[in-house]
Parts: sequence; structure tokens; C-alpha cells
Amino acid sequence: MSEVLSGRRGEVFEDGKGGLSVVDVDVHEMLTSVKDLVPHLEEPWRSRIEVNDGFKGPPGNPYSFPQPAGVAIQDAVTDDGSPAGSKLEMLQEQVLDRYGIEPAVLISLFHPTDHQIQPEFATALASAYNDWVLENWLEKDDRLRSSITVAAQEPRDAAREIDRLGSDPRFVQVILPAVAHHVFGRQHYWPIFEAAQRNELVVAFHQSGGTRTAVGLPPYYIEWHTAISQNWQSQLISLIAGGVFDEFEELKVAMVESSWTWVPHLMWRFDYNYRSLRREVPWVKRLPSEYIRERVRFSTQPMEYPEDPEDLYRMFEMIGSDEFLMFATDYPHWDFDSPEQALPRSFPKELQRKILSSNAREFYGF
Amino acid sequence: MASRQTVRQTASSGERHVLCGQGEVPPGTVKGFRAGNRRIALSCLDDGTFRVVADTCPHQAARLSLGSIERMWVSDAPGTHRRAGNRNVLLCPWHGFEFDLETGGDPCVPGRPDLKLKTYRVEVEDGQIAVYL
Repeated sequence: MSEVLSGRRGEVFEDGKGGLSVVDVDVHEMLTSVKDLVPHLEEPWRSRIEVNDGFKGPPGNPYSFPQPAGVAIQDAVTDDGSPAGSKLEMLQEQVLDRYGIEPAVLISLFHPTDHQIQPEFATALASAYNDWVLENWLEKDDRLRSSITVAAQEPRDAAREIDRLGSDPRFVQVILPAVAHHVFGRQHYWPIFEAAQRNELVVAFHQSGGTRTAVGLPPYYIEWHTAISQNWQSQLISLIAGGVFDEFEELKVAMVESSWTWVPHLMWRFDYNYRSLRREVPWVKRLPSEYIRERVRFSTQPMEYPEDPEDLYRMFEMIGSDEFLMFATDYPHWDFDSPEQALPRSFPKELQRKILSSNAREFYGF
Repeated sequence: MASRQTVRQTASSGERHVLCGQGEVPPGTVKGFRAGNRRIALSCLDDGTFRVVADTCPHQAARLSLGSIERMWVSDAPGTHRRAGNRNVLLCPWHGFEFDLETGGDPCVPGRPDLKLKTYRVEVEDGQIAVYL
């Protein structure tokens, strides 16, 4: 195995972490089952999941996972058969304590947006999920922050949910699934962005069970996993072309687990097309790349590892900002990245510190 | 369309070149000329006034005089279009890049000097259109 693929301990950690407190912007808390939400639901919704043959949850990722521990890293497998990521004490031991991470941002993989039918039920699920996160995670470890789950298909209800929780500083963003069936730049969804801005919350995108590639569901999981950046790209293009950043001038967006080495390509192509096609979207006042550099941040995981680590740093430099990247582990999933290993030495030491800590602190206001 | 050679005179405000008669370039059209060693594009706006800019697109050297003139589109809110008063743009025939006929600048990147067309003074004098280079 090459030195690059096996990972190299970053300089930042060689001298005992140098007092660095890492921020992790992508940690997943998991339900044991959707029945965990029963105490947080009122009728008529409670009984829909309380009965044994009731609703089992929004559609999940349809692939089987060829890795030895399924979708999880082996360390995160529980001894009682509950899903990896469902036990706070394991997250504490394996992420927060082990790496001195504080804070870690919880990102739900429970997306009522993917439940494209029964919109009022989906809205109730989102609210119940947020209350479950509060009671079982945020109340139990003050190193955690979280994301507000919404049912985006009902944007005004989603905005009410954001307003309900937005004053709690432990909620730092609204999470939306990077799906292929809708683009969120459409004005239909603007109440969500308006509410996020009103509550000074980031809007983040992460893949979900509803994420597809541009050609749907290809035969193999490796194809899906390699191709899904298309969804974040489409959503980002839509936010800019739809005028979301012009309409909501304080709005900030995080692209989580999207990978990031495609960003130079998108900026170049989008800027070039803007010069030819601005007349179609004259409400977009600036070059697309300017919105991206100023208003959008990306997570490190999953990193790409070219043969020459200098190539990765060159890709970073092409984006033209040293603030756009924030470290993420993606715990408890199989493509987890260690903060001690993720960044190659081609990244200068001070830049590693920004990516591991200060970029996220400044973006989220930690 | 072939560029047309012009009549040259020297004046204190620049080298004067007579391009054509006033009626030869109708409103809403653009025509290319050679003036000295330069290629220039003469545009006649809807109100009958004229503008002259360099005829070579700084992108891939297309002849801008083969493009078209339109009022500049702006917007007050996403999803809406509005004409920007009397501001007009010349659209490159190849990639549709826009050039503001008042400034020569690209409305997308008005601060980029390398993407800006040179503009020239143009006058209607005794029924003839004269440009000063």
C-alpha cells in the first residue's frame, strides 16, 4: 500500500495536538428504530408507528453494503444489534474523547423529506425527531451540536419547526437531503432559507436514502458512492441560479460529505456559462464562484487521495480560499476519516489547523 | 459581412474616420468597419444614436459586428426580468458574451480590464457617421 493510501500522521498532531481542539462537522446519531419517536409524537401520528406493523421509516439506502461491518466501521458495531451510531457512549469514546473533538455536529440521516407522501405526517416525524435528539443527545453531552430536521416538502411547516428550535444555540443548522428529485433553489422552498437566515442558522446538505445518481440507481454500490457528488453539484447550482444567495444575503450553506475536489471544475464552468447566459438569470448579480467562496463551505470527508499528495493541495489552492474546508469524520460509517490522518502533509501546518478547527468555528460561530 | 474601409482625416480630438452615411446602419443593427488598422463595430441603437466599440471579442476573437444588439436585461427579484432603461449590450455571435455599449465592459465582470472592449467617440456630421480613434 502506498504511503498516501495508508495515511500519514499530520504535522499538527505530531507534537501532542498542539492544543488544537478539533471540530467535526459530520457525525451521525441513529435511531434504534423509528419507534424511538413514539414518546415524541401526538395522535393521529403516534399510532402510525407504534403498532407492530406500522410505518418503518422513510426509505433508506437500497444497496447492500459489501464492507465487513455493513455501512459502519467495525469499531462502531454495537454488541446488542442496535444500529451503529445509536449509542452515545460509543460516540463519546470513539470520537469526542479519543480525538479531543469539541464540538461535533450531529447530522441526521432520518429525512422525512424522503417520505414524499403524507406531508403532515412527515412534518410530525421531523418535529418528533428533533425532540428525540434534544432529549437523548444534546441534553447528555454539551460537546454536541445538532441540525434541525425538517420535512422540506412542506416548506412553511418546515419554517415553523426551524423557528421553534432556532433560538436554542445547540442547533446550528438546518439539514436537507441532497436528493435528485427536487432542486432546492426553487422558490417553493424559500420559506426554509428565510427561516434559517432569520434564526442565523446554516443550511446543510447531506446524502440520504433518497439520493440517486444522474442515471438513477446503478447496479453496484461502488458506482452509486462514486457518482453521488452530482446531487450536491445540482443543488449548489440551483441555489445560485435560483437567486437564493441574492434573496437571502446572510444565508450560509454547508455541503457535507459531498467531497470537494470537484469545486474548481464547477466554479470554472459555471462562471464561463454565466458570461454567456446571464441574461436568463439576471437576478444573479455576481459570478457564481464568488457566492461559493463567500457563502459555502465543504467538509473534508470523503477525501480524495491522488497518487501525488501535492496534487490534492493544488486542487485546494485552485478554489481560491483557505476557509472553505471543514474537517469531518462521518462517524460511524465505513469511510470514516481520522483527524490525525485525513490531511496529507502537502497541506501546510497552519492550513491544517484551519481545516481541523478554526474554519468551522468561524463559519458556525462556535 | 465584409468590413468596409473608411475615409480618414486628422483632427485634434483623434484621428477622424468617416464610416458611412447616416442611413446606412438602421436602428437595432450593427456593422463592421476597418478604420486605419483597427476593426470597429458601429451599432445603431433603437433611438437612432450610435456607439462604436472594438470589433474583436476578447474571448475567442469573433467578429462582434456579426452579433446582435439588445437592451440589457436586469432584475429586481429572482424570477423577474426588466429592461435596464436605455442600456444596451452587444452580444458576441459565438458564445453570447455581453458587452455594454456605453462602457465596453462585460456586465458579468465589469471590473475585468482584459474582458473590456475599447470604445470610441462617434458623431453624426453632415449626414455622415464619423468615428474618432
